[in-house]
Amino acid sequence: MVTLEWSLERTEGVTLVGLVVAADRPCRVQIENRLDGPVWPPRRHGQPADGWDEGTFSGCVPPDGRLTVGYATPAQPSEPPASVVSTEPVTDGDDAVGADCEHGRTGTDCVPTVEDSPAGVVRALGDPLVPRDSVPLPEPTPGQQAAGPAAGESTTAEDEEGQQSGATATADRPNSAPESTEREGRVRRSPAHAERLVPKSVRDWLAEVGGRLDVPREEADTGFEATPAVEQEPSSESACPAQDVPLKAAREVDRFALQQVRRRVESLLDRTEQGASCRTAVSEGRDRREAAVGPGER
Amino acid sequence: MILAVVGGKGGVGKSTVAYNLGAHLDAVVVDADLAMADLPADRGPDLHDVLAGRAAPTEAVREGGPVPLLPCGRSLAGARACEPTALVETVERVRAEYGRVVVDCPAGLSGDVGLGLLVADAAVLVTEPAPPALGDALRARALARELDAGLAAIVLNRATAAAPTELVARELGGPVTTVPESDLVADAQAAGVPVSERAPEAAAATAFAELAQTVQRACRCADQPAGA
Repeated sequence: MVTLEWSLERTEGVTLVGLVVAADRPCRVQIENRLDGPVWPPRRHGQPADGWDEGTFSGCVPPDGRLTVGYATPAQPSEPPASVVSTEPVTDGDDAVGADCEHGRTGTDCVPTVEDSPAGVVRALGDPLVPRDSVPLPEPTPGQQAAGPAAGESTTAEDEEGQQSGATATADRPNSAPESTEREGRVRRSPAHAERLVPKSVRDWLAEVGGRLDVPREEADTGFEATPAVEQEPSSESACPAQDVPLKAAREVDRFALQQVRRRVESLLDRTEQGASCRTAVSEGRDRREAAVGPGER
Repeated sequence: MILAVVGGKGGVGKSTVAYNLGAHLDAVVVDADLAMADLPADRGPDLHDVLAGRAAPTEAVREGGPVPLLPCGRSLAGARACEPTALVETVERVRAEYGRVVVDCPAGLSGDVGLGLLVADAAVLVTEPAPPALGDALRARALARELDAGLAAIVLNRATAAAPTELVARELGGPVTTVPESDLVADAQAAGVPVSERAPEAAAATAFAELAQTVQRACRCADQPAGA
């Protein structure tokens, strides 16, 4: 028989889920998250820990009868946070017990067990990425400094191109954007760095809105919206006015959309400030002692 | 065929072996030392660019030199921007285009060495007749075994006549090729040419030719189906 116990802790906008699977004999179990949000599994060297596949964890209850699992999620806590969706007995030929329960090393070779995949190699042997602190930031030349304010005001196509060709550009690493721009020396001011944290689609939209507001009022009363800078999908529900919409009407739509966004931004800001100041423990678990096992342990 | 040249300890001659082996096997040599590249590079896309998604693997292969080479950039910023796990797909794509690839792995037993071994069909272990180097070679051997890269050959580099070849063969469990200490090898490497081109009569050139034959024999054996 397999039972699941849990503990939940909400802190700074993140719910930490601690699970204990108990079984009277070794078995392989699959556990699924039930909370309404993405699962942030524990990671080793930047890769999800062994056994995790998106919102599902597969592992083995060892002979001592207890398997501990933990993860984090931005979802609000509710009960039960997860459930055991499948249980299979461990057969004699299954080395899962040994493989899953011993994170040790093989024999006398002092080489860790390595999963046969690129992510498994990095997880077991370490990420060979050069530490961020070791990458020097060159001082900008006077010419680059002069170019800085222009780049700081808005993100231009040239900036984007520069990021693609720059030696440090990594579009899929969100936290690397400020580093990229610093390295190129093109953007040195902190407001520009902060702006880089705003998604490109949002920056594009705000630039469009700004462009429409830049048109003198007398022209706007008679003019039409120019071709948008960003190509719109035919089915797009974007608030950006379509082509051939009178500029005056487009500005009205912009005003309405901006108000909507402002309300949403203020609401989210309130929540982040609450999250930072309040550490609310929602401990509903039945075995709180086991909750001492953090989300990175099992 | 994809070969990973590993050794554990730094400075034992992995890059020299990889480059000369590439020359004899007519293989593309991939400099997979992301942070401290050893093989010569010129202008153009390199492995950093490929692993950061800015260039195609075959686009970065230099075919103009004596040995086709996929060099690695030397900047820390370039290394920082890489996605190391993309090495596996990169090497496979070079193999698909060129047939044979020799991956020059860095020192140590970190993830970058593991990725080179993961993609390789077989490993060539480079060591020196010195206790620290042999100890590291044992660990590199164990990692190669863990990642199913069969041991194609062992190179005892900078060996003298008194080198414990038999002991090394027994401890590491594979055929040993000794490469004698020679200034000609260092000169050729510094000039960016294989020893067989710079000094074809040198004992080291013969040793590398023998090594290539040993590797080919081992890989042919590995390709034979069981029981055939």
